[in-house]
Amino acid sequence: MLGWTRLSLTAAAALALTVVGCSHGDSGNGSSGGTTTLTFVNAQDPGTFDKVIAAFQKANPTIKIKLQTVPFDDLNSTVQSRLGGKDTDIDLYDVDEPRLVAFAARGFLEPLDDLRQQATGKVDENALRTVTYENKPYAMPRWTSTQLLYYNKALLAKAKVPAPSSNPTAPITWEQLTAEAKKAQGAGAKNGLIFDQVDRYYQLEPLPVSLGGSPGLTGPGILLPDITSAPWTQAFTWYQSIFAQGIAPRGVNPEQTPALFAGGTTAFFAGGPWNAAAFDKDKSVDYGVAPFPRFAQGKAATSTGSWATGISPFSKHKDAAKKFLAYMTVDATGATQTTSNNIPVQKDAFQTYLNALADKSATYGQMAAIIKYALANTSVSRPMSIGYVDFESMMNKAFADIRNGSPAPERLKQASSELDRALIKYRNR
Amino acid sequence: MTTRSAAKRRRWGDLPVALTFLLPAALAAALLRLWPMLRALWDSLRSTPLGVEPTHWVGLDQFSRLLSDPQFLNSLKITVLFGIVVNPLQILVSLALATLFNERIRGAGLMRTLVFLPVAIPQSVSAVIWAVAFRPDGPINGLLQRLGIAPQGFLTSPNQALPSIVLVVSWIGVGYWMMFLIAGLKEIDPVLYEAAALDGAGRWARFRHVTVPQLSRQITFVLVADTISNLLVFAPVNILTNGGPNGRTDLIMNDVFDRAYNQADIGAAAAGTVIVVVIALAIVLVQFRLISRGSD
Repeated sequence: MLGWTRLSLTAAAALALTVVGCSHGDSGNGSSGGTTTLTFVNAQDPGTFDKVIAAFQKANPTIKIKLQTVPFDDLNSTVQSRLGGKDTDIDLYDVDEPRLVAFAARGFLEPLDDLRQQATGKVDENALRTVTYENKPYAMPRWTSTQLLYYNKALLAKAKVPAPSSNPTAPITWEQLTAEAKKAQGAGAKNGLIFDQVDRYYQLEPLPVSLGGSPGLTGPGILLPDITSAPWTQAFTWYQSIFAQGIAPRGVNPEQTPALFAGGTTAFFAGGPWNAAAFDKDKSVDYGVAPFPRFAQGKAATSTGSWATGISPFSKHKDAAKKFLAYMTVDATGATQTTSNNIPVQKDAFQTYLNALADKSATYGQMAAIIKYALANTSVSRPMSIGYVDFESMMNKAFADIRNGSPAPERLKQASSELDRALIKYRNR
Repeated sequence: MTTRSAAKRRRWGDLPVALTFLLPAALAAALLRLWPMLRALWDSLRSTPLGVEPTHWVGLDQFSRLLSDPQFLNSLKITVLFGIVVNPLQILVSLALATLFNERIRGAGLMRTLVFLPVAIPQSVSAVIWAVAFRPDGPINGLLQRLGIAPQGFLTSPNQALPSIVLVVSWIGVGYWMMFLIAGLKEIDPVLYEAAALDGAGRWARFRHVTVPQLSRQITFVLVADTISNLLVFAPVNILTNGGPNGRTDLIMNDVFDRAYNQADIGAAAAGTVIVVVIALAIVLVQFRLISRGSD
């Protein structure tokens, strides 16, 4: 008898400990005291959402937004592993637009027909198309993007290299840029050229496209690799050569590249409009802007697309999440507050963004003109394929190997057969 | 009879309490070890194209597909090569350091702490620190250049990337395994050394004929645990090289992670995990045999 009394006391104590343990483990997500807390998983710089969250919470005192910021490289695997386990703790999350199809097909995104209706006429139609899969909108586009060429005025002057033209319709060629980067290095620049998102498909896609190549995936369902064509081989042989010749540095990751230009030791920097803010902050580099280069035999091509925000189908607060999402993406004020250093796709916010750029300085005025032209004329979207996630991660690995010295034709062939094997599961669906 | 039954009652009377105390551990073992293992085995025999649709039975096809995938075979090859180099290296260095720091020399305690310190740093943090050190324009190359040696590629070179990972993993592992060996050295009866010295045994002979045999159980334990832990290396590879350049550092756990979270191929990832478990079990079996032979 005594044994059973002791047993029940011990069991009660164990249970109590478990309950205490669980309550400590509660992340604080959900509803309490009439307040709904929404968790928004993203990979943006600190401060990006401060203004929009403050304004939204002021207008909606019963909804609180909790940001969960993860590194860019971890966002997709984090979301995939958590939503794969039907985690209800995520309400909203950032979706890299080309990954939307893969996430939507996996059932990781809530359809947003009502928000799509609200967005008609207010948000750029091209951007709305990039979040549509099988005629259903699965996220709300927030920004778009383009690419530019920054140059260090002092380093070019020292090497007696003329500044590239800022005329949006007359980009410098990669061939000429390579020669001038070398000259700048001869006159003291540590690095000739740096890609902001080195080894990432997003920024490198325009290279083969400029030479007439495809974005890399073609065929039915956009599931056939097309990365061994002459334009691809030629583009990435050039890419390999700039690292082999020491014009661009190896062993540097995308998080470290802007600092190398901001530090004043790099002649040319291929990057997005968002980089300018960081360069201004450091004030150690006097820079100019030009359109993103093209190959001599090719046409101008620039990366595009950006972040959209989606709602998790496992969220317990979908209505509140939609309210916040509508404010952030459809409402002109909300979209402007969310702009940060990015290009909004909400039409009024886009105009406000361009005007604000042009008012800042002559360089920013040139940047506004380049952005406007590139978005309308030279943008190349990433493939909207269910296999995009596999494609991008394999291409990024191949680009990294090419940068480290693997010959482009062989490495692209290897990537092509790896991709073929990985994509077969989607083709056989 | 009465005394016997009272003794029996006393003996079994504590059982419920004992079971209650055992319950959390048993639950943890079932939930955190047994369940994931069974789940991996189940998942490895099934497939779903997108990772979330209802799965269907594919059976051993999953394994034959995986074992004919050059990428997976490469990661198996790299893992074996890594194991052959890293395990003996870590054990030899740990043993050398343990023997050195067990001597009564000035500063041994401080040195022991310094060697053990990397264990307290999370693997991911160590990897980030090493990423900076290994950069082509990083401090290691800076030092080499001062010594008149040409800068090295380290993580960017297909021939140096795996040795660089061996260095990072050993920087963390050596201090950890050294502590087990020091504990073993402390248990050796000093009389044995005195007797050997009286018999005219020198330092090396004493190490070979006293230290090594007396330490054999600890060495075998370290061998088993180190081999398994090196089979499961993931964070440094994922952070430093992501398996590159050219798959030269694509250790098996990185390949499994890639299949699960980049390619969303849970079935293949689970099959990869099952293969890792089989390899680990085989190693443990062989090494346990060594332990029992050593203790005979």
